[in-house]
Amino acid sequence: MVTPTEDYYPDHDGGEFAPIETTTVARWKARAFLENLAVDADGAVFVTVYSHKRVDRYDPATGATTPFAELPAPPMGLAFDAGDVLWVTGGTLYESPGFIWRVERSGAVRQWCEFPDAIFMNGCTMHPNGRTLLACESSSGRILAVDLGQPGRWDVWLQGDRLRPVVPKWPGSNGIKIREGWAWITVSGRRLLVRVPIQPDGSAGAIEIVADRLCADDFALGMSGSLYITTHPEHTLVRLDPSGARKTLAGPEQG
Amino acid sequence: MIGSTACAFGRAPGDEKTLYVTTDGGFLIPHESGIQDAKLVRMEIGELGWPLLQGV
Repeated sequence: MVTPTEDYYPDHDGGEFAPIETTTVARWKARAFLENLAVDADGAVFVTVYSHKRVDRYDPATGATTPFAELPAPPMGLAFDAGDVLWVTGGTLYESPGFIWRVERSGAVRQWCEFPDAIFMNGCTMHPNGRTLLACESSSGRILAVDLGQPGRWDVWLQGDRLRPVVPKWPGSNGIKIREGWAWITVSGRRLLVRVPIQPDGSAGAIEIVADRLCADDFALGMSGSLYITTHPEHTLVRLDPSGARKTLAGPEQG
Repeated sequence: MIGSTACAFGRAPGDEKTLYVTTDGGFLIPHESGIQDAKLVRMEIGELGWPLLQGV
């Protein structure tokens, strides 16, 4: 039973359906769960394989996909820092604790943080200060700020009702990316895209809604200001333009 | 694109206008067609990605 609130939308509007060509470049036999990805400075694509407790690496130059790192618990979100160190969020869904791991270029894994009350670690990105990882905890909606200079040191960067889940087990804050002083955050369970300004001291300002009726998992930012958004249960990819216009670029039949 | 979970732009030379999409094949929320393999899907999107580390 869902309790309606001012900032909850049950439906999804993907705009016009205009599919473009897709190519499957790697596959993992069902049942497998790819949750997130990040691309290093050389262009290799790293994916979290939640179901296999692994990060795999796809090389666009050779087309080869190989295991890169094994984690002690399922990995979720990924982000590279400026030194090409890979930062990984994770933990078993709906079970505590949550984790942050640091993964070296060699694939060596080091536990960096453990969060005793986190049961749904999710998307992450680098803070503009270069020293902090911002990570979504989807069950509470909080955005955690992880100090990359000192293991075990973290704080809550942002929290608020608009980031919290509404439907049980359906994520609140999910994906986070930063562009020109704003942190953009998907709140999947509310069908919302929100943003917050990053203050001169690095803290978060007030949450404002950018788009609603948008079933958004994680996303990428285009140079034009468009957002490319995966919609997980809708099985599509949506482009959201700065004007607010939407187009669905891929559906269940693509990919 | 069953169970599309995340996407990111390529960074290799010549790959910068490529969007890579991960899927879970319906692992968490199955599609009516059944559970498929999980995939990494490539799309030529026609624009460059915003650099995630800009300002870092």
